[in-house]
Amino acid sequence: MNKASAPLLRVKNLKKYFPIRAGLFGKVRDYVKAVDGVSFDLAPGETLGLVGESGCGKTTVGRSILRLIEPTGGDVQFAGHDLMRISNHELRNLRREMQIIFQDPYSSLNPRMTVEQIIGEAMTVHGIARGEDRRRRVGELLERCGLSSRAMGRYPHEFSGGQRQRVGIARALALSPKFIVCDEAVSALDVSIQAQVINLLMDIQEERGLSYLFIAHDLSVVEHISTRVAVMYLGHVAELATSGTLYENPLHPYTRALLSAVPLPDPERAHERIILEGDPPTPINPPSGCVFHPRCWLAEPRCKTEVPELRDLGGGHIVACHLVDAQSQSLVKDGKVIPPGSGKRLPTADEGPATITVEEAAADEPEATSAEDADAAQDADATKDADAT
Amino acid sequence: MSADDRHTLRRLVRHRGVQIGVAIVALWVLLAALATPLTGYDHSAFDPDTALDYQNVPPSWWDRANLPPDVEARTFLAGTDDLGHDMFGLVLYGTRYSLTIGFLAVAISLLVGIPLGLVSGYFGGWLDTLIMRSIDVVMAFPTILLAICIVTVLGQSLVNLMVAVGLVGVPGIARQLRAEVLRVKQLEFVQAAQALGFGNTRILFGHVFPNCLAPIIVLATLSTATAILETAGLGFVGLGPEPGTPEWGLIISENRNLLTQAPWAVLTPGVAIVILVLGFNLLGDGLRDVLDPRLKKR
Repeated sequence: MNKASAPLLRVKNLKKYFPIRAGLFGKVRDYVKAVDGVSFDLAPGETLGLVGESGCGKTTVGRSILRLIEPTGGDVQFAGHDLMRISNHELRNLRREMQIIFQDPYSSLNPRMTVEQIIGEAMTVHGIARGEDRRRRVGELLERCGLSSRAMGRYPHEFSGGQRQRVGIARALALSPKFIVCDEAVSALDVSIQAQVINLLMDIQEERGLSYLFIAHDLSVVEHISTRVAVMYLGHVAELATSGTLYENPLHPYTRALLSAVPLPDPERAHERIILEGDPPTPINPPSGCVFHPRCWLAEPRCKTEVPELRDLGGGHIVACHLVDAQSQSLVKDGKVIPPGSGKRLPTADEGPATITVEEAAADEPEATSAEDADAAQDADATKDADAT
Repeated sequence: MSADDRHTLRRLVRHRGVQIGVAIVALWVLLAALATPLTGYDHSAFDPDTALDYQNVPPSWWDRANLPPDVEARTFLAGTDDLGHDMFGLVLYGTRYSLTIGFLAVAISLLVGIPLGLVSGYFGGWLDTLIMRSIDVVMAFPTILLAICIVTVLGQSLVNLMVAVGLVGVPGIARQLRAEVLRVKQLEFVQAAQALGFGNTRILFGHVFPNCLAPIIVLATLSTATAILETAGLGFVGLGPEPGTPEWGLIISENRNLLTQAPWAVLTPGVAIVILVLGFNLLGDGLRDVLDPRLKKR
């Protein structure tokens, strides 16, 4: 058996249902199905990007894997250990191997501790280093993360957001883990700082052979750092592919909608945006069949009833959509191939309630979403100005 | 001490309410310590026989027209009662009781309330339900009635009075701390501590509790005022220390038939209670303004 290619982390059919309690005795009335059957592998040294809109369950996936919240079901294998059946004692020891970096650089550091305590506490607890040795190691970590080792005696509030995030990274590295969950690790930072922190994460990955589960909602950030990307929608994986494939040939309609929302830095290149209507449905009572069908502009009758299976199209491109043709690796609607990216004006109103609105690249904000507004299309510019003010 | 703490301290020192509150409380502590040298009254050496001539003497600033010359020669700042006690001296001795009982009662509240609140908020589940529903039951009783019950059950003594007043303060502390633990518990640094493999004890006392202190400090200060008031109330209804002890509530109760002939014998301990309670309340409100502005609108 080839050990090098064995995945570091294998997640199978992971589920997390949050109970909704009501009444005097807290009877469980219903469940929020935050994560409903998510599976993926992660190889050593690899970065898996996990994207999706707010509330799709990506954070829950990250925290369930680390057992910061108890998953309802599923299987998580990490470096040969079954994380779901491991004893508490073993789990605590295994925590040295897997860490997390949080989104909010303000609430993720204990305000009553110095930076040395924040980073060094874990070393003491796990018996790695104490005293002068600990100070030295903390200093090294700080410098590795782009901070001065003199910062050791300071408190978190004396740092900026980007610096705090670096302290958070140093803390995650304190136990020399093999795997780090980056939970929206750069989302709260300025764009310029984002780039620095991402480069830092990538450099450290190269040095130490780390694996990342990189959770984010910003697709351009994910593209830059990820080896493979998984797109989540309402607790399910919609599509998973290598970073290049996913951005060049996205197949799931939801992935296409997400990608069309990425702003292009080129004003000349007209690109059409697919605007999904409405909010994601509630995960308490998810739609039947394909969970995406109420918002999908290509939905067919069978999408309402049949749950699309995750199909491997080869090359690790996995997608859950009835309309994807495995042979040609394309999205097919009524015998017509719908190519990704530019140039397809999709029919607007003839699909019943379903629904997209396409807009020209020139228009920066959604317009003409209802019939009345469409009538006033000529005045679009005027209305837009009015909206803006 | 971090720069943040120094900043908080500076704001505290500048806060008018804190200034006045600290001044009042400090003044009372000083007066209580210097009771005998200040007034010439020594409670332990008080002899009712030698004081016979000095019964119901008005305060020195009162109309003292018809007094015998030898009585008029002695000045009593707050007059005397029907046994010849110097009211000012007696009340200052009472301060010792009030402050001690107040502080120790709050210490009992904290000692019982903090573990309950921490456990309830941090572990949740059936333990939380059990603790919080029990506290709801306790809170259903009016505090003074509850204190009377406790003293009646435990028997009447100074220690039991403290225990009663302390236990009455437990629900407030436990609830406030639980709410604060619930808030801090979901902050990401607590999850980071879990992810680093720390035990519950370390997380609870190293990470959660230190970030829950501000409202507890505020509540403890305000509880001291309440405890002093409750002690006086229990003393007044006769559930405090034995008769003859210079406890404020008891003094008022023992002298209440003098209200028409020697009102100063009742008013002096009354005014003492008002000023000391006011001092603690001002201090508590000030601490709240500075440490925990979120509590203000409650």
